[in-house]
Amino acid sequence: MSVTFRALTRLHNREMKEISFRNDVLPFKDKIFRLALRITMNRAEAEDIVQDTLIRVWNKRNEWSGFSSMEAYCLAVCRNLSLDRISLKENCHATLEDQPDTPDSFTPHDALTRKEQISLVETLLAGLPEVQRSIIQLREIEGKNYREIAEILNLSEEKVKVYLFRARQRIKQAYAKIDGYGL
Amino acid sequence: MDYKYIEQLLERYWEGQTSLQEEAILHMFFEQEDVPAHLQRYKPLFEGLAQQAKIRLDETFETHLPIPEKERPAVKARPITYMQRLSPLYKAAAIVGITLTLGNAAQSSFKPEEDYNDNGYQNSYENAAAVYAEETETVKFVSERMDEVNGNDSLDIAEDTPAP
Repeated sequence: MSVTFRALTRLHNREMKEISFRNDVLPFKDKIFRLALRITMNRAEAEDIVQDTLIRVWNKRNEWSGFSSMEAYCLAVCRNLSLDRISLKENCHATLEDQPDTPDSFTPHDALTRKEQISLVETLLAGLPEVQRSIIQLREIEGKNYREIAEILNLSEEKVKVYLFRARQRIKQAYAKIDGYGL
Repeated sequence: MDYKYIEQLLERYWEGQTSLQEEAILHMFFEQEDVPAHLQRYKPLFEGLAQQAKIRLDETFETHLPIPEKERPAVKARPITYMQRLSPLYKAAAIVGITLTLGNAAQSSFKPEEDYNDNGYQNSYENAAAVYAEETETVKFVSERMDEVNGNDSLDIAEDTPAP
């Protein structure tokens, strides 16, 4: 009986807890931005997507209690909006200016500046299909486990593992090419 | 120093076999200053991935964002009549009533039936006069004993009332 009562109290507290945009949604903005940037490869568009995502998640606040993780939900919304943008852009013929800057040559053993390191990774990841890019983003950069990635991308964990394997193999090969002497 | 463990981890990393903890070890290893020459080539990759995690939105982003105010989740108020408010009490009263009724019914149905047939009644004695005499004797005996205790004169019941 006491357990039931406690569970009821907890539920009541959660339902009645004051929610705020600033505390419950806004903290995810940078993670959302990084995923949107990874998918669209365009800073201005990624910023638009962050705004759309945050507002969309906030407008769904009556359904929050049904979500296991707010962060996963935010990232899933972000990805869907990013994919919409990409397909829209493909219809409008993407221009070359939208592609990330590709440096002329990399020599990984030289001490690279921060900026060069960032663009090295961006170049490597830009060569991957969107799903693999998103998985690398969530796994390597955001440190998410297979279950969380599967939830965000709406895939099975097995699929996520397979895509991650393929992505790493491609990165390894591309890296060997840049490196110049193969692995 | 032996870097076999790191080499093994790296091999499993490319195969997609490493856990998150093992990947964290790899990241930590390649972030340190002195990485051996044969592993040096992966340093920019892991450092580059770490740099990616530091990418942030511009600080001006929030100034253009329409931030809604705090709010409590809406609780719907539903008007109810006085009778609806008392309905739990009615329910409780009905349950008590039903329980008592059933209890009574059960009790009376399980009790063995008593025979109240007056026509079937028979005396257990044969001589009424003998019974009367014996009864009188007993009352007299009790009366005498009581008188002995109380100190009164005895009362002769047999003389006042004729025998039937």
